[in-house]
Amino acid sequence: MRVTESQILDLAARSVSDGLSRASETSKVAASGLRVALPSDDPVAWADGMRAVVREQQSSLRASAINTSRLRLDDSETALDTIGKILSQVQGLGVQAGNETQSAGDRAAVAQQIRDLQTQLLNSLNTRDAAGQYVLGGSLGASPAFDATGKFVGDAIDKTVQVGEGQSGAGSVSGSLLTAAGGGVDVYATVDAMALAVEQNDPAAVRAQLDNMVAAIAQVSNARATIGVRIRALDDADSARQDLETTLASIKAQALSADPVKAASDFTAAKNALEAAQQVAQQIVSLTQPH
Amino acid sequence: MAGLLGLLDLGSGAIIAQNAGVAVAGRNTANVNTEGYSRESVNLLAQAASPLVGGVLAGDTALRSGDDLLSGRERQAAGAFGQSSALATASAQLVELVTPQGEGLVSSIGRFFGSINALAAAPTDAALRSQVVNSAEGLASAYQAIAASIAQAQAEADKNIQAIAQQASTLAQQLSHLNQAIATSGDPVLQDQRDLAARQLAQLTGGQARIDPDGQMRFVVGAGQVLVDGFSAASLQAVPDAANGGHLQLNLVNGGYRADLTSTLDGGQLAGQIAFRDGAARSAASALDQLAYDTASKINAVHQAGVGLDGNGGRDLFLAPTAVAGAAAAMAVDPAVAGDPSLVAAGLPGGGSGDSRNANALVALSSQLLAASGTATLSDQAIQIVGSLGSAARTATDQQSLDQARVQVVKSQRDSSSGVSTEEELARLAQFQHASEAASKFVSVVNDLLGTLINNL
Repeated sequence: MRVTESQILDLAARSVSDGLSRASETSKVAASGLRVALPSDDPVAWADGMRAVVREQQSSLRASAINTSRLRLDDSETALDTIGKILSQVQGLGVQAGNETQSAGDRAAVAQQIRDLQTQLLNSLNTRDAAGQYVLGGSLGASPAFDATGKFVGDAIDKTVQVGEGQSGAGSVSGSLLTAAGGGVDVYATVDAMALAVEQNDPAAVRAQLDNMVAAIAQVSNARATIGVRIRALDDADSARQDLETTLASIKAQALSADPVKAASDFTAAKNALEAAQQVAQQIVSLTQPH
Repeated sequence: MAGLLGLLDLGSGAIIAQNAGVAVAGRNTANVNTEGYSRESVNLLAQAASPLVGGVLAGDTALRSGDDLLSGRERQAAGAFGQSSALATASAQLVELVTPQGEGLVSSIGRFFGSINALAAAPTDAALRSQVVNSAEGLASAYQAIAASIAQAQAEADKNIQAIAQQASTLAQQLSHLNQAIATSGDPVLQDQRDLAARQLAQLTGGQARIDPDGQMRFVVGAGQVLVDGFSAASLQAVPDAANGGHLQLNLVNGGYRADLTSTLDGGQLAGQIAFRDGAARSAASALDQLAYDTASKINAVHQAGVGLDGNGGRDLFLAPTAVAGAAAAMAVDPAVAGDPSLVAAGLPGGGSGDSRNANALVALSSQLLAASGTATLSDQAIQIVGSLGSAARTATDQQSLDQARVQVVKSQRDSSSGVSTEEELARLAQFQHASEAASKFVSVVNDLLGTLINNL
């Protein structure tokens, strides 16, 4: 085959150009740490990385929802703890007032204590969170969950949030759990009835109310258990969220990032190839010089 | 038998012929780097012996070592390379432009649904409501940015089509002028120049060229429309096409004849630019519009079912798109909601201000197959749109590499067949120089013989 200088010089130029191009590509990967910077670099890997980005975005914002819900449930749990203690105190006072040995004066004093506790009970039923929302009000959190007569005026709508991919969790409990509509006795009304029985100096009526007090205490315990389950679910979801984000970061890195060792190795190989191509090109140029 | 004076003629003819060889070698050497130049050789003709010794004559023109078959292959390769390189360049530019915005869109979708979920935890929180509005505005901006980038890339392609059409028209004129020059001159350089012009034209327009029996080149493009025929050349004109969104239509115009080449070009940069504009870019723009339409309409449908903190519902979160076409560029948050985040419908009718049921319904949209005719989630479809641009760019780049290799192979074959080798030319130069010197010596000897003869008379 006839070979002209033009062919030889073209070959040399192409070798150097290809070497430069390869060195440029590998240096970019080594410097940026990104194997896939554009979808054209590797369309499938880029799509995998982007899917991980979307999931990361949503997951990180789930943390805020979980935290807000957790704080509200903590506030609710604290309120129910207080309510439970109040009910226990009222129960104790009821036992005391139901004793036939107590005088009318003793019962009047007990009645006063129960009324004071009833006031505290109402305050606890209308506990507010840091944002000023009544935590037991359901969706009607802007106004007190229980009115001045102790009647529940909220609703039974719980706040639910997405706590995981395709997984929802309740972020509140409604005060309806503490009413007859919630499947038991009306807690506030039970205390009110106890106070009334004591005020009326009627030991038998007082004793009759003690069973209701037991039911009310059990109802509060059940509500606390519900909160506990929900808090636990949120904690588990938050833990799973953190694990998911670690996994997603790994998926993203695997899809888009370069292996530093391989990137450095590729760059060195490309650099050596370029230097070799340059030396060969010099030799070729000297060969083609006219003698 | 030739006389001494006849021998002088023979010697001088030999000197002229060998000097012509020197001149051709010199011309070859001078054009060693001239693009398209084919090496030439002197056409030496031995004169018939009459009656005993014949001389040598250099032909009227040098012999050109051009190869029409290879020239045809070069044009074909140039047309294919022109198309793939234009497509690859435009696609790569669009991908570089759109990728950050694409990532922005994908992230924006995630952020939007994440912010709604955060609001679901505390629907009365004013800061979270503002965050929802901000993320919705971010989502709308991401759609607008990508739509603008694609439109800009298409406008850029139109500009290129305009410029290339003008360049091709100039080359077509040049080709016809060279046909004319070749008809009146035997200089082989003109054929080189015509081949080069035809190759450059093929790189712009694709098409086929052939040399007719009369030596004239005929260049046809598209579905057989004649761009150059002998001394006459048509022109390419790019005019706005209302049926194609005002993008340029490519016409071949020759007097009153006009043919639309937009969809018939089979190669060249023009075909590459058109393929990009009406292919990958248009598909991406259409898919993006559909996605924006789906995003706005599906989210609005759920948002309308909910109520804001004022207890009223029936409001859109995004401006309701009137049509799929242009939906991405027109995407925006409804001004009423943008101006008053309390109108974000997190609750359902009948619920209180802390009702987050509708927010949950909105969040649920993130995992529903709302896009691509119910086959993909919104975020997956966004990834698919940008990814398909990347995929198209990758394919075009791979094709460009193949076509470039093909161009190199054909060029190498042409260089091997017709290229100038300086080593060869130096050898020929020495060969003709020595022959010329010998002829001079011959003349000198004959001259001496004549002198001797004259002095002895």
